[in-house]
Parts: sequence; structure tokens; C-alpha cells
Amino acid sequence: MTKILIVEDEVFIIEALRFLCESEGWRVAVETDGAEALNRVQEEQPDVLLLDFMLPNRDGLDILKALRRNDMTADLPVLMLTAKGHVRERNLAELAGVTYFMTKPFSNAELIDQLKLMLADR
Amino acid sequence: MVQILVGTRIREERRKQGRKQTDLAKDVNISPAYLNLIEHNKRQIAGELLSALSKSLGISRDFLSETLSTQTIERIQQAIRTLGISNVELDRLDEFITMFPGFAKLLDRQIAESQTQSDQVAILSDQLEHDVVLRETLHIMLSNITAIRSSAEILLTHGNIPVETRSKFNQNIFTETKRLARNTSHLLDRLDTDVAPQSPNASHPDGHPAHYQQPHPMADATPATDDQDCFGRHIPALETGTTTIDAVITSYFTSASALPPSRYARITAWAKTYQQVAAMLPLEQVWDSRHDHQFSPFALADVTGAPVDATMFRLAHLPTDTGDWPSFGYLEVDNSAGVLSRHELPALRLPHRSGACPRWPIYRAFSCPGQAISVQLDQLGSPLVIAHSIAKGQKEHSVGLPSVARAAMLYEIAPASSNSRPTYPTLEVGFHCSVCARLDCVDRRVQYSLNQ
Repeated sequence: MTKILIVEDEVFIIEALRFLCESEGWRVAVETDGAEALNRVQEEQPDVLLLDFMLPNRDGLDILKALRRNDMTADLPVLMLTAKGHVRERNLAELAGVTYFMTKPFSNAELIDQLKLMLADR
Repeated sequence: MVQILVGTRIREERRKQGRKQTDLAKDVNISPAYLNLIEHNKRQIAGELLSALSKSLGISRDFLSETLSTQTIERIQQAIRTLGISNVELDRLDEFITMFPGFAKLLDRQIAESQTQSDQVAILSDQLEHDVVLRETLHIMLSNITAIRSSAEILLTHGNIPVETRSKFNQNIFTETKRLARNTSHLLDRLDTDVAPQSPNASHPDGHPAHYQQPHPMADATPATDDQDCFGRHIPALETGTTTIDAVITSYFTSASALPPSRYARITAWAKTYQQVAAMLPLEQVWDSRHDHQFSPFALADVTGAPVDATMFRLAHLPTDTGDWPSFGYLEVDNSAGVLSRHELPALRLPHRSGACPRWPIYRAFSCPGQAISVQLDQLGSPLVIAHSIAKGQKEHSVGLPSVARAAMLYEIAPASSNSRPTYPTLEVGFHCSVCARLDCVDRRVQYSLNQ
């Protein structure tokens, strides 16, 4: 069964994301602390990681770089969400190897379509 | 000041009145041939003849001898060149200004306003980039909006939601809307309270925060340098020295032919420096000795014997697109803090015109010329940056009058902790006092814009 790990610290956004993913029949795991994100990836072995850019204790960009340095997670599809729409953040995420980058506020339909594409491309 | 073309104006006024040259010449006791020379600006006139002509034409002498500031003319010329429009009759600018002084003033005013607006955009951009509180507040507001939008979209597009779930999302929207309203109000309060005591009439009809109307602390001094377009670019053709500088400029600057001469000269000077430094410090040598200098400009100078300004220039022009070389930002200022060269990295924004945070090592370097400074910069909300700075005098000094000095700063994002790289003392800095939230900073010179 497809599993999505959501690393996000805003409770109401988590609830919306969880509902959307579960409506597609996917299993969902959630982590709110950036410092714990890498451990959760190891534990949960998700098919796709939904990663917020700004997180407490360790930011999403740093987490992404660490994932790409690890052979076990180097190819994990990562959809990065950010409220920062600057080109700079997008460029940094692309340099770090993000699979797809989406700015908040996002369209639910576009988000789910993108997750489906990423799952299909695994 | 530049006097407008008097002859052209006399001719235009005469034709407007339907008078012949012979008639006007006779009226002021000169030959028609001489008047013809005057009207074609081949003879300068003043004194009694100017008075006689103005009297005969029924116009004021001041109108004929009107002047326009040199600045106005240069500004129009510069604007035309900057826009890169090739078919403007620049050689007839004097004629245009003479015949249409009102339009010339209007054009000049519009150019000045356009420049002011460009500066304002740069200032607002700096404000958004560097004001930690503003940035974080906007981030929270966007998160509020995201939660509201996603929850509302779920309620609208999912028909069979259980009542409990529907109620939960309704409650989430309500709560998040209240938070958004509070955050918006909070932000507006901060912006308003900052300027009200200083500028009671500062409210803007567009509703813009009033402090944005105030002159920016960096909007007053030296104009930005034009060579920022090229500074920091790695140009392989300049590494080998096999191509002429003009050919390099033509191939790397698409509108090279439209560049103003002053800018072309600056780019040429930069390219010459590039060639000299590349010959002195070939990339292979820098790469092969990287374990000895660790990409510190001072260590590279020790290892190679090259001067520090050359090693800084070298490290600011590395082929970073391959991912093997580190990326460096660079700033060079004179001792009035006017910016001479800049190449910016996202990790540390640089001023476009003059002074930034007085705590930056590049400014401190002026108090100890020749001394190498390497520190780690800690900016609120931004990655740590390693900065190397040094200042030095430019010319021989005379007794009792020290030379003018320049200082340079080379910087990079601090690499992840590594035993192989040296560590440097940490210095807490900001970008500029007006957008810096370090309220207890003893070096603050102006109030924080948001009055935190």
C-alpha cells in the first residue's frame, strides 16, 4: 500500500493533507519536528515525502540535502512545500535535488495530481 | 548649465510669425547672410543684438538665452543609451531641447521619476528580504491562507464527508480565519506605529505603509556600479587570453554596442584585470593547491605569492556551475562605503549603493589597513557565512593626509562542520539597521523600521 510521509508543522495543513491522501487510499504518517524527519523516513520507508521548507529545529532544505547524501534515500521522491515563493528558495531546492516544488497556498487537485505522477515515476 | 541653441529658437520664432530673414535682419540692422549664420548656430550672439532680436520678435530675452542643466541633458542621454534604443537621434538632442524645452523638461522629469521608482522597488525588495519579523509574519499569514484554502476546497469538492469531519474542517477554517485576521492586524499595527510619531502626515492614499515613503538610508549616495553584470562571471575565453577583450564583451553582452562609453570602459577594465589575474593564478594551480589554501584568499596569497586583491578576484570568478568549486560573493567599497563592485550570493545580500551593517568586517577593515580578517557572520534567519576582508590604501599619502583606501570582502556559505576547514570567530550582524531586529545592538544608528 502506498505510503506518504508528511513533514509539516502546521496542524490544520496537516489535517487537510492527511484527508486528501487518505481519500486516495494512501497510508499517511506525519512528523512535525524537522530534527526527527530523517529518523521517520528510515522508520516509515515512505513512497513519497511531502516536505515543508520551513520547519522547527531543522529546515526542509537541510533535510533534503541529507536525504540525497544517503544512498538509501537518494532517490526518494520529495515534493517540497513552501510559503516562500522566492526564486531563490526554488533554486536552492532544485540544486539540492528536490523532485517537485510547490508554493503555498496550493490547489488540492494539483497537489494530488503531482503526487500521483511522482508515484507513477518511481 | 548648457545654453540652448539660440539660433534655432530665433529661426523657429521667426517662421512661426511668418517673417522673412530679410525683414528681421533689416529690423535689427544686420545683413540677412549674418542672420542666416546666427539661425544655424554658426555665430554666437549676446548683448545688444540679442536684445534687439528679442524685441523685434516680441519675445523675452530670457526665453532666447534659456539654459538647461547639464544634468538634465546627461540624464536624457544616459536614459536613451540604457534603454538600448538604436534609432534615437542623439546627435540632435540639443536641437530637440531647443525646439521643445517643455517636452525636454517633461522627459527629464519622467526619467527621474522612473529612476526613483526603480530605487523604491529595490528598497522594498531589500525590506522583504532582510526584515526577519516582516518575512516571518508574512510566512505565517501564507500558512493561515493555505490551511483555509485547502480546508474550504475539501468541503467544496468532496461530497460524502462524514459529519464529524465536515465539522472539523469548518472549525479549522473558523480558527484559521481568526488567526489570519489577528496576524494581519498585528502587522498593520506595527507598520503604522513606527512612523506616526515622526511623520503625522505620512499616510499614503494608496494605503502603503507610511515608512516606505521615507527616503531609504541607502538611496542617497554613490550610484550603483554598472560592472555588477559581469563581476563574478566565469568567462573561459578570458582564462586563456586567446580572444580579444572586445570580442569577449561583444559575445557576453548582447547589447554591447549600445553600452554607454563609461560602462564599456568599466567592463573593459574588469576584463583586463580578469586576464591578468587568470595568468597569475591559473585555475589548475588554484585547484591543485586547494588543500593548502582551503579557498581562503589570504592562504592562497601565502601559497602562491600573489597579492591578496588578486586572490580575492580569482576566487570570485570560479567556474561554479560544475559543482566542484565553491561559490563566492564579493563586495568592494571605498572608504565612504560607496559600492565599487559587487557580486551577490543569496546567503548574504549586499548594498547596491552604500553602507550596510557597520558591524560587517569589510567596514571594520578600514580601522586596520592591511590586516586580514576572517570571521563567520551570523545573520538572523539566514545561513552562516564565512567572510574574508582586507583594506588597503590606493595611492601614496602625503604628510598629514592618509591615502584614500578601499576594502574588499569575499564570502561564502559556511560549509557543514568539517575538521578539514578552519573555524573562525562568529560575528553577529544584520543587513541594515532599519531592517535589523537585533534590538540590543550597540552599533545601531537608525531605528528599526517595524519599531519592534
